[in-house]
Amino acid sequence: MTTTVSAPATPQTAAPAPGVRRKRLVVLGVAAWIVGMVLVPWVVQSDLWMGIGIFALIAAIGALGLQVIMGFTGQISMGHAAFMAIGAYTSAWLGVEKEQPFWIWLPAAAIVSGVAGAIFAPAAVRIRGLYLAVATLGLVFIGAYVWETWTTLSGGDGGRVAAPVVINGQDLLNGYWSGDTQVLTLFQAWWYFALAVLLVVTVLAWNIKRSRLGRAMMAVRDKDLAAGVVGIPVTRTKVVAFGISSAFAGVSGALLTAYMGYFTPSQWGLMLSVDMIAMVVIGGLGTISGAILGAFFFKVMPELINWLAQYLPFISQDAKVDGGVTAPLLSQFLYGLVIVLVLIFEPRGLSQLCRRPFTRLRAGRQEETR
Amino acid sequence: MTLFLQLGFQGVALGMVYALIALGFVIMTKGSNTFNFAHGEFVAVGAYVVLALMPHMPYWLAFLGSVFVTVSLALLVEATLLRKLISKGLTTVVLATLGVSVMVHALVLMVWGVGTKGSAGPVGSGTVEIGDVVLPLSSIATIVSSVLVLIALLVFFRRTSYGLALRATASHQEAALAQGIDVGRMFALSWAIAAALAVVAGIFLASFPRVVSPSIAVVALAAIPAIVIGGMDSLAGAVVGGVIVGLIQVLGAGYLSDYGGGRLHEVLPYVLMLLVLVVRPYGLFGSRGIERV
Amino acid sequence: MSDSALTVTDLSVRYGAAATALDGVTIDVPRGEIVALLGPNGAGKSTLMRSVSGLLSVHGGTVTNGTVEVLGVDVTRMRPSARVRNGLAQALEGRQVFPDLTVGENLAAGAYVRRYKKAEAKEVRERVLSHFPKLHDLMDRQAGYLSGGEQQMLAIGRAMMSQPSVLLLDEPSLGLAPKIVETVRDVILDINSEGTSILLVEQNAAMALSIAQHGYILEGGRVVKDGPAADLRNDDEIVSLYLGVTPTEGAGQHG
Repeated sequence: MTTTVSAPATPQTAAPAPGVRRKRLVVLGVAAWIVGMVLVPWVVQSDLWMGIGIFALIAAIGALGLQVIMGFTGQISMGHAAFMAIGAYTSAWLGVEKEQPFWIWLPAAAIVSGVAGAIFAPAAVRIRGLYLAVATLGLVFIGAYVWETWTTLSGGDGGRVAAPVVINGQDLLNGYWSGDTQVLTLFQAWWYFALAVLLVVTVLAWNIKRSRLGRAMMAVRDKDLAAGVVGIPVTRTKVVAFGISSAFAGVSGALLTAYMGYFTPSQWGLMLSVDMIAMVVIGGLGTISGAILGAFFFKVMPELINWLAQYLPFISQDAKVDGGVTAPLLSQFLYGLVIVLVLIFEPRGLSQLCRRPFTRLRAGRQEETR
Repeated sequence: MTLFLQLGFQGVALGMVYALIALGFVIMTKGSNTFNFAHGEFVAVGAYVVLALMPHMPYWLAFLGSVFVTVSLALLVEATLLRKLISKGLTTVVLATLGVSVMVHALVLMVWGVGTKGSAGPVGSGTVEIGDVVLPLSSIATIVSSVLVLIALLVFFRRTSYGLALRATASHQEAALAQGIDVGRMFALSWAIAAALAVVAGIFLASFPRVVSPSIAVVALAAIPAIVIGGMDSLAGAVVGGVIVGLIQVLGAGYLSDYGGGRLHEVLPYVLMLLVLVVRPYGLFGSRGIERV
Repeated sequence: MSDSALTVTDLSVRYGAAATALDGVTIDVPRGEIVALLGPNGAGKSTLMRSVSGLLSVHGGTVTNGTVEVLGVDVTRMRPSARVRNGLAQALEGRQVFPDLTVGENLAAGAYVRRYKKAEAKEVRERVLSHFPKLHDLMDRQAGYLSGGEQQMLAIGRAMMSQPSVLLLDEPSLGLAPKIVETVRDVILDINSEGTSILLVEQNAAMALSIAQHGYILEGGRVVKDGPAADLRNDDEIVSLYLGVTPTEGAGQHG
């Protein structure tokens, strides 16, 4: 059991208390981040990088979901891909077969996935240890089988059309037009749409973290035996956490396929679940910024390696049947390596690494005001 | 009836392969308090290295070479990862093994590519006929070799002092430390044994009618339902669970191919696993201590 | 050649970042003697045992100062396995047998460090079992199914298998019926008579002081009192605090 020893409070000076200052800095930081995000489509001209950014925004939504069950509640889930798939197929069916607008199918994706998670969870979370990890492993394989076999829903190996995002009668995949002029390219339009959803999800996640539920989750993470003794309903907390996590996954899956326009059952395998776990671990388990940072890192890195491949002779850009270092494989190797390195050296992930210069700044300023 | 016997026999053979992989999981879990998600990749490495060495030397030498490489890889991971992370909790260690599995998977693809290769087994595609029943030589070789390995393992655990020390460590780690047993060395030993088992499993997993391909690692993951069904901390359970999973897959492939899209048999072990988790989470032979929150 | 079997000099130990568990403790166990270590719960007795046997890091503790010497050899930096090879053995608090192993296998585990040849192993086992006749019949029984007293015998026997020069006994009478405690006491005396030096941590101060030659009282991580056992037995303060009787009533009842 860990006991935290809090550092003595810094002596009061003319400057405001450190807690208030910290809050101000956080608010400032978040505001700056939002402004930056809004400006991105006007700064970034490359379609390639905009595309990557949109994928990153969408992945960040899923990563936030995984953060709820893994970072807050401390349970390993290998099944995230299955719930992303549920969200995707729900949205596709409602959006295409039933021709519903996105403000119907997007929440529906969340609800159906969330409920599915809440139904599945009790079986696995009653037992301590790795049983959730193992059970969700089974879930993702069973899910993959279901998508492949339920061909009327999934279109079989050939895949199917995804739900369109239609705003004011316009499918965002064509950009946003006012009459005959294009106001936003498809990338810009989708960037803002995905960003909007991400912001909503982020606010939700932030509120959950600070709520009683969030504290219960973290108590379960830190020592579930002790949490139970203090009166926290451990099983119920885990089930709720898993439901929330699945709901976010559903939103992410729905958006992902809506952006891609077309999707196949083979996307929702174990590899996707592992990718999502990588995002959360690399970004930093337990923090909101960690999930988002991890998602961006994960989507940006392969492209960076790809770009580097031009200059490094031993990396080829084409896949080979007989082996050879290709950019995608190298980037896969690297993200595995980064997972291990992060866990060994900085378990709080990239988000902590990014904070270090700021904490040093803050510490320096506190020294000055004494 | 002949179909049932043929499929049953092959099911037992595949089951023995899963049993060896499952044993590796259980030995690592009991011997070092960890769960190694990269174990499936070790099976793949074992098979690939044997295949790579086979054309250049007698089979038994290729096998030993692969054991050397795979065990070294496992020990490397254990020494760098496990020792550093064991103090940070099981979750951290398991996530790290996930990272390792990604790395090894990418490595295998970089070295050998995405295509399927040949067979890494010691015997070819020949068959033997007993009455009406046709049995593949590879299945016979699998079963015989696995049984020999199991006997060797039993002798090791029951009759050697290292085996005793390993069992003591699994039974009560601190008491083992207090008796002067080098627990760190026991961790390494458990990983080494698991890796050796992985190589044996690998060559038979890549034996007729299957071949070496990158998907071996995923196929090997079917050993996880085996350990849940058998009981995650039981060696006997790993063997029984493995055989059950093998039978389900082969008999399922034979009899259920008309239902559920033709791949139902691949998924059935996981369905059974979920059922076991709900009804009897400690499996057939596991200890009950692992239960409820 | 040192006269002392076990010497702890000025030992300070800390758990985690802040909590000091031991503060400048010095203890000496002369060769061939039994030394009792007494004190209330949380005084640091277990911490001291762990510091001597090397299991401190398992519980998150670190030695911040001082040394531990076994037969004159400084073992402070040694791993537990090295300390056992240097002649130290321990019976942990709460017995801690290997529950999944048989009695015979438990004993064999105790002999592991010495790598006896078959014949020697048998001889050592016979000698150890001569102290615990009951265990003879239980050799194939799984240790987890033994009674508390039997497990305690097994724990001590297992520790003896490495033929230690110094034996650490941590609360051997804990949770045992008085009659069994008597048996344990006799066994300890037996073992000591064969030359093994013993550091005995006990809550049962009466039993401990009745067989020890010397005693230390630990409180709040410090040695607050020490002296020949006879003196401690008659010390009013000790008697009332640890022997559970007021001085006029109980003095001389045990011993």
